[in-house]
Amino acid sequence: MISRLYIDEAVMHHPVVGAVQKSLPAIPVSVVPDAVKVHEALAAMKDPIAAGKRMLFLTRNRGPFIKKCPGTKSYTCCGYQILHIGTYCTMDCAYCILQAYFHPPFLQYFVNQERLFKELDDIVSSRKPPFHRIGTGEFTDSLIWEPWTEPSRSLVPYFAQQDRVVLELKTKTSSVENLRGLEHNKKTIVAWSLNPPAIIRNEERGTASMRARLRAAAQCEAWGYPLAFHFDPLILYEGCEKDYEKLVRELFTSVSAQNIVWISLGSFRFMPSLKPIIRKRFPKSRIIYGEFIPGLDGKMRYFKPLRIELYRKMAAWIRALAPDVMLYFCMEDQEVWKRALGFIPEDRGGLPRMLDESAARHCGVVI
Amino acid sequence: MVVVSRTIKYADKVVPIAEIDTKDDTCLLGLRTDPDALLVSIRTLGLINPPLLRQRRDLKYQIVCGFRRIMACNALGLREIKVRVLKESFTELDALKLAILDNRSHRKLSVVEQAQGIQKLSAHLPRQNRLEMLSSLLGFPENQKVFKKIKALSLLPVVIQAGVEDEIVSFEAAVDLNGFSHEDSLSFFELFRVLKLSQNKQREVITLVQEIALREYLKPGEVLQSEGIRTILGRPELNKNEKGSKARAYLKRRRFPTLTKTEERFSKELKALKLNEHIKITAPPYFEGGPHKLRMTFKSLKDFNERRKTLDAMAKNPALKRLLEPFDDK
Ligand code: SF4
Repeated sequence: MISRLYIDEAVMHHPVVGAVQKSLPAIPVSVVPDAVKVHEALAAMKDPIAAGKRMLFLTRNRGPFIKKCPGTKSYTCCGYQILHIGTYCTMDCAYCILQAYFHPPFLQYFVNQERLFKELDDIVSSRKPPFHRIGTGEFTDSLIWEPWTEPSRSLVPYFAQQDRVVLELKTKTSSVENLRGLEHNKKTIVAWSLNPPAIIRNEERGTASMRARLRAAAQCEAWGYPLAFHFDPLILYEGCEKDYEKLVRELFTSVSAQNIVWISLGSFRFMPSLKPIIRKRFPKSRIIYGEFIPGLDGKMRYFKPLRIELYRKMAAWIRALAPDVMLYFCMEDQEVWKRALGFIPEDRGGLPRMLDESAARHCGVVI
Repeated sequence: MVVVSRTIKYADKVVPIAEIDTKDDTCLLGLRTDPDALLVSIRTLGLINPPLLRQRRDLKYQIVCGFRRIMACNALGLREIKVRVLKESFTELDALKLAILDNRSHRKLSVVEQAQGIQKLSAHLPRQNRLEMLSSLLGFPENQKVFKKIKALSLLPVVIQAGVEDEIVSFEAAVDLNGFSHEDSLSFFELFRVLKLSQNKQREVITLVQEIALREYLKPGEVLQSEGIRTILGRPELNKNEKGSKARAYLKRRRFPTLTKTEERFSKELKALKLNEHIKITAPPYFEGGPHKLRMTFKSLKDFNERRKTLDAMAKNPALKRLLEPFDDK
């Protein structure tokens, strides 16, 4: 897995660094003045994007730990906040935006978590800006760090002792062992991205199988955690409807709809710069050859009626088994909402409000 | 600019053409040695400028400069010609450089000649500074991107390289063809021979075919051989231009079936609105969202009132509602 550890000299004496080194005893270590050395090492590799998944750089976050999710005006955003604990991922999904987002991408973990908790304290106590949902799964997978840095062991109890904000841990792994026995007070939602086995097999290298994800979800449910699921990216392919329908059925036979805080639907979208990367790194992948058009935010999206059609079906399958579950679209416009779900978020107070209310119902946050 | 660092010494000689290895193209840059244009001049004036040769170890002569002149003399039935033979032991690389500089002394090399030059010189040049040396010798900008493109051209079948010179396929489109098997790239080339397409359209066709092939698990050549394309190419009443647009429309429909259907539905409803050339409605790009655009032109109040009437009629026409909801199948 990790083949080399780089340590920013500014944090070399930080206790987290020692803990990581202990968990990776046989890995060569370089202490470096900054990320430039990592960039140089990657530049010499044949596939720097893959190589970046095996190089871990321990450093400090110089910017804010809490960031607003980068939504756009043209599509309805859910008003999520990102808890920026680190970047990149050890798994390798063909469609992963992170391949094109960082130049070059590599595993980077911010050890100066004292400041992270200070930022959280400020926000929780001041209640400004008012937000109620935060997650670590935007620039990385939330649970890949567990074997080395165990972030959940400090984050989950932290969120448990307040009632303002829920933490969402979003993953494609089944590494939930560290969550066992933690005081969570229902303020941590454990969430999985789901796709049918055919997509996992072909497009999501190194991720947990669909069954393993659902087993892990059931396990978390048994430990009392609220759950969430993201059918994102939904990918159109021959036979996809049958597969997605089956996946929805499997979801609800694995966990109870009552414990699901929300389910999101998002069709595959990508920055144009990702296309050549997918073509090169995943030559067998067909996902970029769908009927994509440039969206209003510059990302390529399935032509609208195709998205609406799949959303409608997904919504119907989900509604049939879980009529009350909070279902929403990630980055879609009002027309899609109206045509696929029959209403627009503004009719119900707006999407952020709808999600906050669901978090209040399931997790007891005070909004 | 590369300089050949010594004065070139040569001996004037008369040699039998049979002793010249005309098949040795080591120093040939272009693809053609077609002598036609020189025949008349040599027949009337003789060979004014003697070709430059290098004697090989097997004592046969290798042509350094003057391929076409020698071919012309051969075609005219001459047995012996006046030549200049390099005196010192020139290496193959030196001879090649000399040939390039000789060509460049009176004109710019074509991109195909540059491609040939890259192919022939690369083996002799050290990796370090290779780009710098090649660009200086062959006269292209010292830039990795440009270099990669010209190199890509050099890897294509010769007939396609010649097609770039003959403007059957554009340079950029030819570069795109480099990613395909020779068989598939030749299929594209055959198509471009019979269609009239601008550079951008050639590139669009390449992308469409490639993506259709990947999506439908076919070879690009199979897409190009499909019934739809063959029917278009087989229609004698169409000229090259018309065939080009029909072929593109066919490929676009196959690659983007739902989008094409929606565009057609939109055009149909637009027609049903019976607007005139003074009023135009445009759909939002790709029907993704955002407003439709209405453009109206008028010169006078009278014009304006007429347009207003047209707009009133348009508002009452049920086609307008259908036009605004292009995703509804009914
Ligand atoms: S699991 Fe998520 S972060 Fe990791 S490679 Fe896949 S898409 Fe990217």
